[in-house]
Amino acid sequence: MSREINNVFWEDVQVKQDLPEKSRVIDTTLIAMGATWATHDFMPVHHDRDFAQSKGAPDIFMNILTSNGLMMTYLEQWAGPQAVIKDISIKLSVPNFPRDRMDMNARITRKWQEKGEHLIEVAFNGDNQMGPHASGSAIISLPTRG
Amino acid sequence: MANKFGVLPFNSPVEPTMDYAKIAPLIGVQSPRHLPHDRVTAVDVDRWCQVMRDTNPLYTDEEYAKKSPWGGLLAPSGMVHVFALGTMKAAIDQFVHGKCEFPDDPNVKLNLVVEQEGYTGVMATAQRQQHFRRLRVGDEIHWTLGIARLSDYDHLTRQGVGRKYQMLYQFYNQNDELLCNQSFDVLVYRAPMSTRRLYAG
Repeated sequence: MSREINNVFWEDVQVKQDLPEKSRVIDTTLIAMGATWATHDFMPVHHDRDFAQSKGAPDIFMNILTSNGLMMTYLEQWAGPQAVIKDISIKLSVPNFPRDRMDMNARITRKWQEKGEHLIEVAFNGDNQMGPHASGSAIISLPTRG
Repeated sequence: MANKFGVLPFNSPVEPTMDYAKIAPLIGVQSPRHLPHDRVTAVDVDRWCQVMRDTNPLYTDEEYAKKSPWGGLLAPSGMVHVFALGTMKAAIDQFVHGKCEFPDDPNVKLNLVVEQEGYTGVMATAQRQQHFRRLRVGDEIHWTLGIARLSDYDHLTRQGVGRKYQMLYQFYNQNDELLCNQSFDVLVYRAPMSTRRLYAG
């Protein structure tokens, strides 16, 4: 399979640099398939509307593994396949419900070398119409041109 | 008396709070090492990548992955927790019928207590993963977990009055190499009304 592979190199990024924003439409399929098919999370609040409502939620809502996966993918798709996420913290606020849209953005907050690795830290957010769904930070090891 | 949304008037008596002594013995207890249901397969990884729209060739392009420093297909690091989750049958047994796969695990015992105390809503609120090794297709993930802490007072949250607790996981591969340390924060709550109504202000 041939495809264009882009890598971001450590020398080419700066602190306070913003990553390009990305959006995902949040629908019932993404929430239910994200929970069951992709992340093996069969807790019914993520795929069974009646069960979710019996627990006090208005609808099914996204599980944290899918939220984490979407944010990690957003960062990795920007950084390229040679990058490695070493550490990621994610905090959830308002849930992602069907008919939401999540807008993802991130900013580089730190850049340093440690034990032979070339590292950056990014602060990221995933917001839906009601406010912040996911926020957090990640430490990413980037390749160098050298 | 509660109104139709389950909300008590302001002059209602204080609800009894949970007896922390029922929880205290579970804090710091570590579960046994659990064995995986399945290996990490290329099919699992492909499904994750389809949902996340992840086009990283290290995960799905075998030729590319073979030529990489890793020498073969990897799985996204965030997937490590996926293989600690039970089968669909185990989940339905647990969440619908109350029969847990690992009834002696500290988190299972904790969930029983908080549910009996009326905290019937459950929501993951935060997670941290520290990755030490890449997850590979073909790996077998073993894991252990424990409860790090539970709040000893009620929080007023958008979901309702609740308690927060934190689980700590360690994930290992078949060679007993530590892949990831993960903290996992959970809110258990007494839902007073539709969260959507609350967000609508």
